[in-house]
Parts: sequence; structure tokens; C-alpha cells
Amino acid sequence: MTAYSARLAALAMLLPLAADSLADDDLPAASAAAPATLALNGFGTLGLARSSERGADFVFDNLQPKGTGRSHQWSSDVDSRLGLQLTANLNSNLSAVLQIVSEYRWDGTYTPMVNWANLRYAITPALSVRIGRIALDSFMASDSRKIGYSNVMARPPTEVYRLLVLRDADAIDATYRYSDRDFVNTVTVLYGQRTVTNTRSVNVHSTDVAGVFERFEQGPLTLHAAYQQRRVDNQNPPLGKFMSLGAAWDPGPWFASAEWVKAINFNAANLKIIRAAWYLNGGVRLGDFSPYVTLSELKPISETGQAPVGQHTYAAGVRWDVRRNVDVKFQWDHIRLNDNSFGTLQNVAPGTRPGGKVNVVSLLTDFVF
Amino acid sequence: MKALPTLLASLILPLLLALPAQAEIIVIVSAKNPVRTLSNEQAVDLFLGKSNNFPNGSKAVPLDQAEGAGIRDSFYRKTTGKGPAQMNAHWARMLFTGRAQPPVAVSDSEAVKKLVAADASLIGYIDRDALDSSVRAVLSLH
Repeated sequence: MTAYSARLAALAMLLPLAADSLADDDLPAASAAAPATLALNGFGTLGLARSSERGADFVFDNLQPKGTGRSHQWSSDVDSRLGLQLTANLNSNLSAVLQIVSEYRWDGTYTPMVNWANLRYAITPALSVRIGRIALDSFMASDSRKIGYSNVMARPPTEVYRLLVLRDADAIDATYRYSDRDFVNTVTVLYGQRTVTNTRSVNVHSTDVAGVFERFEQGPLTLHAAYQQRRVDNQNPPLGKFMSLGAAWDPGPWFASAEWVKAINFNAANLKIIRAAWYLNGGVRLGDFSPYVTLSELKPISETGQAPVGQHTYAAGVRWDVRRNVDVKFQWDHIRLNDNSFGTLQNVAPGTRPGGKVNVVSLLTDFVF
Repeated sequence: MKALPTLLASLILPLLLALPAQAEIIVIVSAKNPVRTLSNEQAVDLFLGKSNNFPNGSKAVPLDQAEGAGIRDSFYRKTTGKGPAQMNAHWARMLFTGRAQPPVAVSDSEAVKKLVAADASLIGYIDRDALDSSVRAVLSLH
């Protein structure tokens, strides 16, 4: 399916020439108003992060084998990435998207990966279906977390987005939008599968990935809710569930958002592991500068008999819109690890003491083109 | 201390004079389009890519004005409270998550009006001065 959907999308990219002659009927007078048949866009981040904890690594997510702290004083691997997207409008109802992302990954390389590769067909203006590789809208900003330019924070709170184990799937989904005089409601149902390689080079197979994603937008208000479950072959029983609730308020001069997520998984030894996480973020826009603060927490809910993965973070930062399509961000994270826990730190050196406090500073620039 | 009011006036007056004239912006559809009126939210949702049909269910395609044009910044500032950088961030999110593609931008109000007049699926916004009977005003922004 992986290679298949990539091939499908590659094939789709070759079709615009054929589609051009067909499209003439659809858009007679207003071809100047039609989107380009083929568009190439990109996004990226160049970042440096430094952690005060030398006995373990601070990382962006659990697919990064190393980060800043133990492995590097200053690490450019935590946040840097480059993405390219090809969008093909085959006719007024059919479009194809191929997005390739190069970032630091499980094997320590920047080998590009296919992030999106799908065909989208609009059955009516309000109802569309997609097939191919689709990033999951599990959390409020999960499908845009790699596009730094679209977000205020340097990176999504690691406590919350760490629980997003499956980020995309080779799937089919249907999206229905209902709009009324002052709101838009979008609901998506998805079904698919995905194999992900973890940092121990183990292929983890997820099948029967099923999700319902709901987004309500009314002026400055966005509400988001999602439920997702999957069969996963490294768990016993092979079941993983996720749910999330989020709200954001952005009238322009200031902004605030909050999200709560819960993940229920089993380990290979039939132990149920329940974790919850949340964050609160708020800030103001002062011309080209947007200072913000974030509070986030990851807490173990179930008793596992093992060292709990728990921490909370106080973060403060500023986004500076330097010029068109370029920003610079500075963020300081003060992480407090739970007692006897290394929290979300990875690659812990033998003899490192659990618990305590970690400071991380990050300087990065995001761009789109 | 006597100089203070003078100083303040000399600082504030140029600012006031520099403010752009608050021209009225009109959201338009083709005269062939049966849609009579849109709420602020309905129009904004179309221009932000959150919705892509008129209230009667027919397909709606927004047309933008040129990037950097005063009327464009002012349109989004009035309807969403957001400036050009936030709008670019919005479109980065919509585009790279496959939700929507940014509207095609054309050079000025005259160009918008000409295209909208000829196609019932289009919606645009123009300066009130450019309004004529070839298009229908569905929302007025002061």
C-alpha cells in the first residue's frame, strides 16, 4: 500500500496534460480564476536547540533516536526539516497531493519520506473523499505540526503530541462540511493502515486504523474533537485508542488555545497503559512580534509498576514575522520531570538520575514558499 | 512643560494623517448568481477556504486581490482581525494539510469585477467606487 499509494500519486501527477483538454469544458470563461493545474510549494525549519541535561536527550518526538543534551550541546536535528508539496488540480473536482518531507528520522538520517500522497475527489462542494496517504487529524494541530510557519510555538508541546503515536495512514476517508449562517462544521471518517519503523528499527504494523475527526469553526473560535483506534502488532491485546478535545480562540490581537488528549495502549505483557496530557497556550500580537506562554503536562493515569513517564513544562517564547513567509522564533522550555521519571527524554545514559529540572532553549526560523 | 502638548501633537498628527482613508469594501457575486446576501461569517469562510459553497449549495470560488494591495490587507483585517503574516500562516496550514488552496489573486478591483461578472461561481471583493450593475453586492464592509 505504501509503495502503491506513492505510485498512484506519481501517476496522478502525469495526468494534468490529459486533464487540461477535459478541463476546458468545466471552466470556460474564468480560466484566469481557476487554480494552477500544477503547483509546487514548500516549507521548512532550520533550528538549533540546547538542553541543560547532559545525561539524556531532549527530542521532538519518539521517532528521533538522538537530540540535544547527551548527544549534542546544540542540536539542529530536533526541529530542522524541509518539505516539498506538489498539488495537481486535475479538473474542478479531482486533485492530487504529493508531499515529501526530509527530517531527522528513526535511523539517524534525513532520508525523505512520503508524508502525503492522495487523490481527492469532491462529490459535491460539501462532500469529498480521499484515497492514499493521509496525515491524521488526531489532535488540533497534529496534521500541521511539521509546518512551523503555520504555528505560533517553536514546536507543539511535546507532552501532548508525544501521545500521537500514529501520524498518518494509507487510507480512505470522507469529509463532510456543513455550514450555516455563522459557522462551519467539518466531520471526517477514516479507515486505513500503516507500518512505522521505530528507533529500535522494529516495524510496527497498524491495521484497521479507524478515526472520526470533528472540527467546528465560528469566527475566531475553533473546536476540535477526535477519536481514533487501531490494531497494532506490538501490543497485547493489539489495541490502541486515542481521543482528544481542543479549543482555540484567535480574534487577531491575541490568541489562546487548549487541548486535552488521552491514550490507552497495552504493552507486550498485557499491561494496560493509560496516559493523559494537556496544554494551555496564550499570547498577544504586537506588530510583527507574538510573545506567548505555554503550560503543558503529561501524566500517567494507570499504575504500571514501572517508572512513570510524566512531566510538565513551562514555556515562553516569541515569534517574530521577519518578512513575508519567514519567521524567527525563540523559545525557552523549563521542564520538570516527575519523581523517578525521565519524562519524554530519550537515550538516557546509565547512571543518570531521574526527576529534576531541565531547561531547553531553541532558536529557529521557519519559511514557506 | 509647555512644549509637551506641542510635542504630542507633532507626534500624533502625522499618525492620523498617515491612516489610510477607510474606503468601503463590497463583497460581490455575479448578477447571474441567485445569492442575494451573505453574512460576514459566510463570506469570510469562503475566503479562508473553510467553506466552498454558497448558502444554496452551489459551488463558490473566491478571488483574491493582489498580495500587498491595501484593499486586501484591509479586507482581512476587517473581517478576521488578522494581518498579512497571520493570513500567510493560515494559508500555509490549509495548503500543507491538504484542506484548501489559496484563492487565485488578480491585479485590482476592475479585474475582480470583470471575472466575477462572467462566472456565477466566483466571489470577490472590490472598492465601492468600482461597483456597477454587472455584479451584485452581497455584503458591505465599513
